[in-house]
Amino acid sequence: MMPLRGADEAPVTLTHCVYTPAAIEATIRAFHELCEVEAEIEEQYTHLRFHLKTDCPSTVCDDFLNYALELSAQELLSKE
Amino acid sequence: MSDRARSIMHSSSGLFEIHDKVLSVDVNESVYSRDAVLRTAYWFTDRCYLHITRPAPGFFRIQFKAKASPKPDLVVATLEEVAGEFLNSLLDHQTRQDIESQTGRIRELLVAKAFAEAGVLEDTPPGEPGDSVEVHQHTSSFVHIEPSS
Repeated sequence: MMPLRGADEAPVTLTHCVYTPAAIEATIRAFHELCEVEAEIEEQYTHLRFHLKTDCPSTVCDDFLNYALELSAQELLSKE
Repeated sequence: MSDRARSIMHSSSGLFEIHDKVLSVDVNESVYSRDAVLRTAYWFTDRCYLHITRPAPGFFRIQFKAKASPKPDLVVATLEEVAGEFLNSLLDHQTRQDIESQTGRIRELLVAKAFAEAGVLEDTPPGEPGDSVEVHQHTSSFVHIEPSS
């Protein structure tokens, strides 16, 4: 297991009207080898704090957000 | 002038604001629906990093970040180009959605009518095409063939 680099990324808040909790959870699972993510749900928002692992790419957080957005879009648009 | 004010750049078109190499666009939900925003964003995730927030009720803020940054000037130009295309695509998706909501029912009726005239919506005969058949001998000279149940 890769050691953690620390919580060196700014916290990110995701709104549930765009990012579904299921998509956020699935993304956390998908990225668990690159970073550990603390998620705190508060009403219609999820606050994320990233703990990057050493040797992980610097774009992990951005990749995480794109991945979560893609999963959310698939989930929300398939309900139509 | 504050640090923040100094770090904010405006694109050459003046349409977008760029701060720390992140371009932001606010869209009004009364004009662009969430589905149109999501549908558009989905197609742009391969070109740039996107983050969508809700700065105020009724508004979405779409933030664009370049995937590769060989030169700072190029990033601004590329981001502006991508954001412009994004807005055009968003308008396209929203227009399609509006037309669909206005004419979707008529289109369904036309399709249903076309299929009905082609006869493909008639009830299917009982049984399966591969079913074996039973032959019943009747007193008449006709042979009655029917699918086995």
